[in-house]
Amino acid sequence: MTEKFRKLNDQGLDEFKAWILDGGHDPLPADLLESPVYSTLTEFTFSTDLPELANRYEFGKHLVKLLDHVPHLEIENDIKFWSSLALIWFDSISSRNQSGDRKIQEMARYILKLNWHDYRHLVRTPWILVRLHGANAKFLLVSARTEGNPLSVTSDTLERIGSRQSLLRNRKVISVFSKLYFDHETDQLKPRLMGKGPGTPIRTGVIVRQLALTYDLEEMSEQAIYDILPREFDRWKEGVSFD
Amino acid sequence: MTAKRSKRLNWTGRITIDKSCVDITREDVPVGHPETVTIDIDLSDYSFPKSAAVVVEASHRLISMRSEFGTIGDLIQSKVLKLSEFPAQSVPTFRLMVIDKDRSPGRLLGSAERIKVADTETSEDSRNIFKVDTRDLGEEVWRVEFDLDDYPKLIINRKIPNFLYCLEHDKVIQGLILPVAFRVVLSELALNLGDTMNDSGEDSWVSTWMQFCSELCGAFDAREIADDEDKLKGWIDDCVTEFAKLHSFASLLTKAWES
Repeated sequence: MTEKFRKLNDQGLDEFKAWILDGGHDPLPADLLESPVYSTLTEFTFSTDLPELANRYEFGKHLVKLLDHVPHLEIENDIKFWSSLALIWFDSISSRNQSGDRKIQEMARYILKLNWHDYRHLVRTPWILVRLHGANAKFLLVSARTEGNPLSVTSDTLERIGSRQSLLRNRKVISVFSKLYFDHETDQLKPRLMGKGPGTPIRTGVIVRQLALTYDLEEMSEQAIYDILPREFDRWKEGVSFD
Repeated sequence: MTAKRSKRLNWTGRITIDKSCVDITREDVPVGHPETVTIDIDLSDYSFPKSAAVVVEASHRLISMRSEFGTIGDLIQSKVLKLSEFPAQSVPTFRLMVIDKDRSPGRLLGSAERIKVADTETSEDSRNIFKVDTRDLGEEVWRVEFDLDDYPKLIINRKIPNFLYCLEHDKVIQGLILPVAFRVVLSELALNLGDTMNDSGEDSWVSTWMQFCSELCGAFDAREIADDEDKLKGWIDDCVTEFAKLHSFASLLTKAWES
């Protein structure tokens, strides 16, 4: 359905939050977005019909295309905009348990909170990462886990580095780690990526932060960044090249 | 209070440039236009190679913008920068970098970190580390809430009569609540310590808290302690101890009970 998008107002946002806090047992309050009491009309027109998508990277690609005519600076930090999309697509971005009840995750997954955990939002993050990094965002959005609805399964890689915003915004650094951590031939994350060992994503933020004190990482080539990585990352380097 | 000074080691050879060498002032622009700043740089006190590049980077959350200021030998001393990449109302912070172009290209020879627009510096007078708010918390007495764009909020239960007045005036209540709330904030801060130092612009309360903590416990290198859990715990304990000492919470509580 393509029509001008309505987004929740303060009252609507409170109602949505209350529904989440109540455990999501009642029917989804999607009608909040039809009522002028709980929502307002925006200038943006796009379809909110969601096709079947294999993972959160595909979701990000879909969102970037869907919203390409919307000024990104106007929506990037718009809590009501992203929270409204989470409401509309709630049943796609969440899962249900065996008895059919919705599995409700933490509030920040649905209601955008502009703090260092904003990467946890289930709708905005795929959009923002694919916008910034294109295909290199894949290792941050896909997961080896397959349980539940594919759009509800967040990436362990992102959980480990998502709060490191200086790392997350650096296109070249993300490109390098996309090559190191993602097997582009099998289209999957490389095995044994998780854990706290040397060279794992949890170490990435620490190492990149140290390197950023010494080098101008924004301007260095991917090859140059790759070359200065400490030896603990060697285990991921097989088959990686920057042609 | 005796301040404990920790050593600041810089193994990289990078020189820490004093923030006062960079002056960033906001320009008046019509409503709806991107924020615009004028950046003035004076590096005459430093002796970097003439060929080294000078760059200023503005950043806020996932957005950054760079602006070239020539080289040390041919420095652009003043420049107007339109912050067109940033959403309205976002306040980026700035990083000045002096970058080697000859011997080891890309290596930082010097930097000044987390520089703010002049009129956004927190004034001493307005520096309250907590905001206090009241809300119906059911049977919960108080809690601390975080929002990166605002100061941590100490929320107290409005169902409890005169609670806000007591918190403001009663040293016993303060002594029982504030050190714990202080520790809660430091623990949250510690979780993201390295990033909050690097990822500027999003966290004015963070820098105020860091400044406050360094006044309590002496200067510290956040990056050095960020990755060491024991050092972090020790730092939090030290800060809470000094905070309690500053306000003599235990003595006041004892005196109140004795009377």
